[in-house]
Amino acid sequence: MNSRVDNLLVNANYLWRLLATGVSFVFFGLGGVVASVLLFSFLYLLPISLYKKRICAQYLVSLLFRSFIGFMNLCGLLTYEINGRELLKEKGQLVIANHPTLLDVVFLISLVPRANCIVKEELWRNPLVLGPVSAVGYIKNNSKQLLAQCSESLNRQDSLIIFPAGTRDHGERSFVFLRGAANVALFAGRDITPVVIRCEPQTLSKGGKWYKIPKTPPHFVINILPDIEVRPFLESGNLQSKMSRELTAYLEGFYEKNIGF
Amino acid sequence: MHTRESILVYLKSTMSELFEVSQDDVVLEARLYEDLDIDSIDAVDLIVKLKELTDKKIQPYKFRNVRTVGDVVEAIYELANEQDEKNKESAEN
Repeated sequence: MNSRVDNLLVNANYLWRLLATGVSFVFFGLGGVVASVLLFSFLYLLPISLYKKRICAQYLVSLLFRSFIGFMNLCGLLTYEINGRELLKEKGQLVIANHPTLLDVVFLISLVPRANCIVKEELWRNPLVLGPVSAVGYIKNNSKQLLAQCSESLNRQDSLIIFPAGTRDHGERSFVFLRGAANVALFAGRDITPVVIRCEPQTLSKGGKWYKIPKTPPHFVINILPDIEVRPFLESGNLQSKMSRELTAYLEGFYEKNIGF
Repeated sequence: MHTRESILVYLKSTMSELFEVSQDDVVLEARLYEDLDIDSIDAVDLIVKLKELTDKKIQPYKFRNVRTVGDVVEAIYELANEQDEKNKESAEN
């Protein structure tokens, strides 16, 4: 009898979360549109410099994402813990993270008030996110001056978030990183703040469908770790192509160790 | 005098040294980006190295349309021969 009631409750919880997950997705999409119409267009009209508009937009996106995570948490869709938050307090940090789920960037931007990202060019044609994307002035991933733009952004005191794994981890038990993050660090001469994201059970991973939610709500553990220095790599005297490969290999090893593979 | 064959041999050793690729993968039809994971930053380093081979200023724009190892060989071959012709001319004068 008891187990039947338990079962019923588990199923009810599952259905509730399925519904709430759908609602969250709709919220996220609508949120972008509503924010574009109300907030970002208003911001655009304000008589302040483009520089200030961008900063306002960054704070706004961070606030919206924080609210979104809070909403999902309140609905019982996810739980989370964040360790080492104080390590993200500097301005102009180069932040990298592994990329197990769709929500990683939402978490990270919610933690970094002045975040910049490298974003797919398609997003400039997506009406759901065009408002915030153009207001913040994210960097387009196909830009010819990508490195220079990243470096400039860091010099403007933006914190730049890069996922070196690309568009999400591949789910295999090892990391293959692209060299972009290392190239930015070497080009801009910035140390790297590594963020290790774990999500159990796995959800919203690459290729997964939004309605395939796990039996229990996912728990996110987000660990912000002390900076990785780029100086030893820069001082090696190697060509940039070599330094970049060495730093990337180091980062892969760092994540493998810290995820506990 | 550089032949296409000698340029390819040189590319094999240089590219494996610079970019951690296997010499066996450096074949004429290999695409730089897709097959050998060589990006624009690597290309800059490669051009720096190629200067050592040709002893000549290399205009990066000559490499703009380079997609495969074969294209690189061809671009260097042209450069090297241009140089030889000029040397010949100056010798004749």
